[in-house]
Amino acid sequence: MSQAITEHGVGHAAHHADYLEEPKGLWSWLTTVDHKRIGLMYMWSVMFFFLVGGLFALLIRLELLTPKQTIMTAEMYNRVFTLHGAIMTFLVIIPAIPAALGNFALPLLIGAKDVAFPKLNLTSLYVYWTGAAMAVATLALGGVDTGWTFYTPYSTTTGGGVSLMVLAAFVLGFSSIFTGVNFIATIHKLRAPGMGWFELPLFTWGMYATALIQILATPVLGITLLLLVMERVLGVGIFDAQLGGDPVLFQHFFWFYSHPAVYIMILPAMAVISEVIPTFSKKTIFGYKAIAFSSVAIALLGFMVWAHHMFVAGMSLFAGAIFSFLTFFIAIPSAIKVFNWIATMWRGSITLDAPMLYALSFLLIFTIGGLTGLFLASLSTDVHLHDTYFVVSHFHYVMAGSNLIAFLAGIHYWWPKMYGRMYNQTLAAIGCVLVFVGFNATFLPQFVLGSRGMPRRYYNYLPQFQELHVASTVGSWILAAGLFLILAYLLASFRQKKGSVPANPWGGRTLEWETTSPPTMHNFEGQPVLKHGPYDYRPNPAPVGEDSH
Amino acid sequence: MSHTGEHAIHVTGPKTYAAVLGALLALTVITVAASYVDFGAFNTVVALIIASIKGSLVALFFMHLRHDKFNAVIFVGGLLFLAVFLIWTMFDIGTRTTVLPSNLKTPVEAFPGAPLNKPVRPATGQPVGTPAP
Amino acid sequence: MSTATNTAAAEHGHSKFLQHHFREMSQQFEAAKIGMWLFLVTEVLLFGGLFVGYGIMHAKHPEAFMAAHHHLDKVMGALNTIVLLFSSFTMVMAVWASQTNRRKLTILFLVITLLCACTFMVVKYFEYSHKFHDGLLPGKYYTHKGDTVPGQFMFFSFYFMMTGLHGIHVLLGMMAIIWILFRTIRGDFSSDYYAPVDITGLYWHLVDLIWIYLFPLMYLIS
Repeated sequence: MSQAITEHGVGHAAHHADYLEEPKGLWSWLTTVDHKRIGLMYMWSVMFFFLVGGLFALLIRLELLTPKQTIMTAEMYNRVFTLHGAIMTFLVIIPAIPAALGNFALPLLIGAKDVAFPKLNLTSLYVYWTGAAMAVATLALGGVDTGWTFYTPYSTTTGGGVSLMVLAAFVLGFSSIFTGVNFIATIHKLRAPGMGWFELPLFTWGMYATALIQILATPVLGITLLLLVMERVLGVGIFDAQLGGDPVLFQHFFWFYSHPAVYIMILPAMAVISEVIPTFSKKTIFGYKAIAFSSVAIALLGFMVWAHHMFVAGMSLFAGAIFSFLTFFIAIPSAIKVFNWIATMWRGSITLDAPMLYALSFLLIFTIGGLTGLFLASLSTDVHLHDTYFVVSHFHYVMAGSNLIAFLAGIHYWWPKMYGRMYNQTLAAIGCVLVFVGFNATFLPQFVLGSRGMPRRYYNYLPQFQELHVASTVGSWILAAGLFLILAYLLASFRQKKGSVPANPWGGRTLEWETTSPPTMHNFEGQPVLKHGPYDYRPNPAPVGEDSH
Repeated sequence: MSHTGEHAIHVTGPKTYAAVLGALLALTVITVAASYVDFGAFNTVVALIIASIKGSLVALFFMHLRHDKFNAVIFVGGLLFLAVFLIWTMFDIGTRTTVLPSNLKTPVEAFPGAPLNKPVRPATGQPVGTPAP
Repeated sequence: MSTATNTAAAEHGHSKFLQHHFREMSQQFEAAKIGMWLFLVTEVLLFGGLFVGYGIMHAKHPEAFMAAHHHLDKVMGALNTIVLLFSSFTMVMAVWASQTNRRKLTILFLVITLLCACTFMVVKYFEYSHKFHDGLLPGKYYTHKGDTVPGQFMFFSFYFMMTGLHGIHVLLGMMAIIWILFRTIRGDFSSDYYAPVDITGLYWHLVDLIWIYLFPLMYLIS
C-alpha cells in the first residue's frame, strides 16, 4: 500500500511523535490548532451531550410507560422533552459528524496538513463549548418548555430560560458556520496535488454539501433567534398578531434554517456511509458522480421545501401545494444514493466488520425514515399525521437513527486511525445488533401509534395506546444498553498498546490509510501525491494525476 | 479555480477608484432627488434599482469581483438564496389574506402595567408567574 | 487547482507569514479570500432575514411605515451615506497602497477610513438621541404620542434593529481597521503579503453595501 504515495520534498527519515503524544499536557490540547485534536475534543464533547440528551430521552420514555403520570408532572415533562430536543439537535446531531469526524478525517482524506483556518477551527470549538454552557445554564433559570422549535407566540410569553436557550442556539450557530467556512476553503485550496474534483473521496463531497448549508442557512437562524429575543425583551411585535405582526412568519424564518439543517444532519451521515461501503465491499463505488452530485442536489433542493413543516399552521393553500410538490423531489437524489450503495455491494467481497454492520443498519433505517417522509410530504395525509407520533418516529429514523448510526459507523471506521488501537470485534457486533434492535423496537411502534392518533408532546394518553408505548419504552432500554456497551468496549481498547493495529486495518484505498496510525502532527511525511482513485480496488490501479484531466 | 494569481496581475489604480466614488456620490444625489418624485407604485422599485447599481459598483470595483470570478460566484450564490428565502416566503404571505386586528395596538397598550423586560401573558397582560384567571 | 503549484509566488521563497499547512503564499491568500467571501455571504443572509421581515411588514402596514419614516432626517441619512461611501473609497485606496508597497499612504488612508467611521457613529448618535427624546423607541419603549396611523412603532422596531445591527458591524469593522493599522505601522505588509488588509477591506465594503440598501428603505420611502 505504501507505493500508492511517493514522498517528495525533503525526506524526513526520522521518526516523528504522533499527534496524541506531542506536544504534551492539557494546556497543549486546549490551545491546539491541530484538526485531529480538535476533532477528538469535539467527538468526546458530542458523546458527553449525547449521554445527557439520551438520559432525558430515557426519562421521557419512562414517563410514557403508563397512561397517567408516572414519574413527572406535565410541566416537568415539557421541560424534559425541550431539553432533549434542543441538546440533541444543536449540541449533538449537527456537530456530530462534520465537526468531530469531519475535522479529524477531512484533511487526511484530501492529503492536507490541516484545515485552511486552524485558529478559526479552535475558535469554533470554544464557541461550541460556550453555547453548550449557556444551554445547560437554562436549567438554573427553570428550564425551557417551548419545545426545541421555540414557536411563537408561546415562546414570547412563557417564562423560564427561553431567552438564554435561544441565545445558546445563536452562539452554537456560529460554531457551525466556522466549520462550514473552513471546510469549503479547505476543499478548494488544500487538496493534494493531482487530486481533481472527481478523485475526491465521497466523504469530502458530503462535507462540501453540508458546509454549503451551514453557510447559507445558519445566519437566517441567527437573525430569527435574535428577533425572538427582541420580541421577548422589547416586544418589537413582528411575530405578534395583536400588534400587527405575523406568528406564522416566525415559522417561515425558523424552518428556512431548520429544514436545511435536517440535511446538515443527514448529508454527513451519507458521506460516512459512502466511505464505509466500498471499503468493506472491496469494490469501486458504483456511480461516483451520481453520489457526489446528489449530495449537492439535496443541499440545494433542501432550501426550497421548508414549509412542509407548516401545512396546518395557517399557511395559504397555494403555498402548501407548492411546498408539498417540491418536497417530493428530495426523494430522487436520496434514492439515487441508496441504489448506488446497494449496487456497490453487489458482487463485492463483503466483510462484515463493525463499521459495515453499522452501514447496513443505516441503509435499512434510512430507507424506512425516507419513505415515511413521503407520507408527510403529501399535503392531505399530513393533515392527519401532523403532530402525531408518526412525525416523531419519522424524524427519529432520519435524524437520530440515520445520523447517529452513521456517526457510530464513522467512529468504528476511523477509531484505529484516531488512537492506533482496535476495539473488540465480537462486542462491537453485539453492540451494533443491540442498537439496531433497540432503535427499531423504540420507534417502529410509534408509527402505529401516530397513525392511530397519538399526539406528540403529551405526557399522558388514552389507555388503548399503552401496549405500544410499553414496547417503545422497552426498546429504549435495549438501545441504551447497546450504547453503553459501545462506550465500554471503546474505552477498553485503551488498554491495548498504541500502534498495535496496522496503518490500514480495513484495506481502504483513501489517503488517510497511507499514513501511520495514529498520524503525526503534520499528518503525512512530506506531501502525499495521489496515485490512484479513492475506490480503486483493482490489482493494478489506473493512475490518476494532473495529466488525466 | 481560474482566478489563481490574478490578484498579482490586476492592480486597479486610484483613478478608477476615484471615478467609481464620483459615480456613487452622483447616484446618492439622484436617489435623494428621486424620492421627491412620485413614481406611484414604483417608488420603492426605483430606489432599489439605484441602490443595486451602487451596490454593484462597490462589489465590482471596490471588492474586485470584476477580476475575481470564483468569489463572485460565491457572492451571487448567496444573493440567490436570499431571493429564494424571500420569494418562497411570499408564496405563502402573498397568497394569504392577512387581516389586521381592527384595534391594532402598540406594545405599551397591549401589555399595560407589565414591568418592562418581563414576559407577559397576552391574554391577561400580567407577568408570567401570576396565576391565570 | 493544479495551476496553484506553478504560480510565481512560489519563487519568492518562504515568507515568515506562510503558515505551515500551505504550500505557498498565493494558496494562502486565495484561501483567505474564499473564507472571507463565505463569511460575507453569511452576513448577507443575516441581514437578509431582517430585510425580508422589513419587506413583509412594510407591505402589511404601508401607511404606517410611510407616516413613521417622516420622523427620520433625510439630510442626516444622506450625510452618513456620503461618509460611508467615501470611507469605502479610502479603504480601497489603503488596499491599493498596501498592494504597491506604499506604507505611509496605507497608514494615511486607514486613518481617514477610521475617521469616517467615527463620523458615521457620531451622526448616528445624534439621530438616535433625537429619537429617544421623542419616545420613538422600539417595542414596549415606544411612547410617542399623536400617531395618526396605528402600527407606526413597527417601523421603529425595524429601524433600530437594522441600523443597530449595522452599527455593531461598523464598530467591529473599526476594530479590524485598528488592528491592520497597527500591523501596517509595524511593517508587516508588502506586495507579497497584504491579505489581512484586503479581507478587512472586503468586510468594510460589505458594511457600506448594506448601508446602501438601508438608506433608501429607511429614509426615502415615498
